[in-house]
Amino acid sequence: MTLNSSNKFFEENEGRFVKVYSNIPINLRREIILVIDDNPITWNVAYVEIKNKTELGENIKKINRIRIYIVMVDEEIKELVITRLKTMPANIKMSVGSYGTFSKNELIESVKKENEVGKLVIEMQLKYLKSFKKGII
Amino acid sequence: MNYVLITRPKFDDTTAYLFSWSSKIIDFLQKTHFNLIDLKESKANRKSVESVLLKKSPELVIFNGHGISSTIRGHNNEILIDAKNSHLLKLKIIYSVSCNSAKTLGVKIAGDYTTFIGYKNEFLFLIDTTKSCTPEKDEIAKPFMESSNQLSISLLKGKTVRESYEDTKRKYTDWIIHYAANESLPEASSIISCLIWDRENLVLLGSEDKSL
Repeated sequence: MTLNSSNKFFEENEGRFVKVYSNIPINLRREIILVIDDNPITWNVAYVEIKNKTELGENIKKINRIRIYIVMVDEEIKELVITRLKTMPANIKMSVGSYGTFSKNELIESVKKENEVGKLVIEMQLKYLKSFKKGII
Repeated sequence: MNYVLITRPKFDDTTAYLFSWSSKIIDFLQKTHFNLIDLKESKANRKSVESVLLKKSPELVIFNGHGISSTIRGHNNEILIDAKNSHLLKLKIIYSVSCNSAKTLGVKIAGDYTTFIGYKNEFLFLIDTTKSCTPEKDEIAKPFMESSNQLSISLLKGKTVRESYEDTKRKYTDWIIHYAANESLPEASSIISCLIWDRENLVLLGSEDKSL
């Protein structure tokens, strides 16, 4: 994974991150918000790593995306959405209007292919993640 | 006579759920003074809808089914409403539980004396595959059903369109908060993300002061 070291959002805005983090319901702090080298990172993990100034924390700080998700490149967004979809229980399907109903694996395939359903799921997931910042939960 | 028209096709998973959800509205409606016209399954066709709109002029029309930005669909995706017959909905309150229909068609229909409430994007909901034969018992789908049905229930209680719309948004938020606060449910994140999507895509167009 490429890290954008010129965009040091957290170094410059650590207080802002803490403010956003503080406003997230405790249960939702276990939400996956990043994937770094195949490792899913939750709000809690990001907070702890940054606060403890670990190597991972330093890497997270170099990524601008928690700003939130505005500047992620397409492949990174897809990777994040797929990782989040994997947490969906196997007995649940999503009704996507006239496109039909889709299982977890079918949704993941749609995201990988970036078909109409996949694009919709990506848009929906990003809206959800941005809602943390906007405080509309 | 005050009529309420409900269309509820039933030919796939999505319409089967909407069909079931509408039963709750019908149960409530039957306790009111309104007369129900229930165009279900194969009766949810264009000819029947046009006939009811012309002859009975219902005050409230609730469409369930698929849709795109320019049409509302019925049984087997037959087009019920499009630009050619949308004038039949003038002066009415329309609630369209149908994907995308508020994007273009709703804007065309809504006006000073006509209200259109619907979704400007896909309407998403989750189902429990172990309960899909009995949608009314599906707890995963329940937040979507209750939120969606709130609009009709509030209208039937005599609230204005604006009040009913706000009630519905509030119902979505109540369910979002419920799942955000519940640590033990693995489906919470998936449900919340869909509820937020639907809440944000539900729009109220046209007259906001109307009531039944």
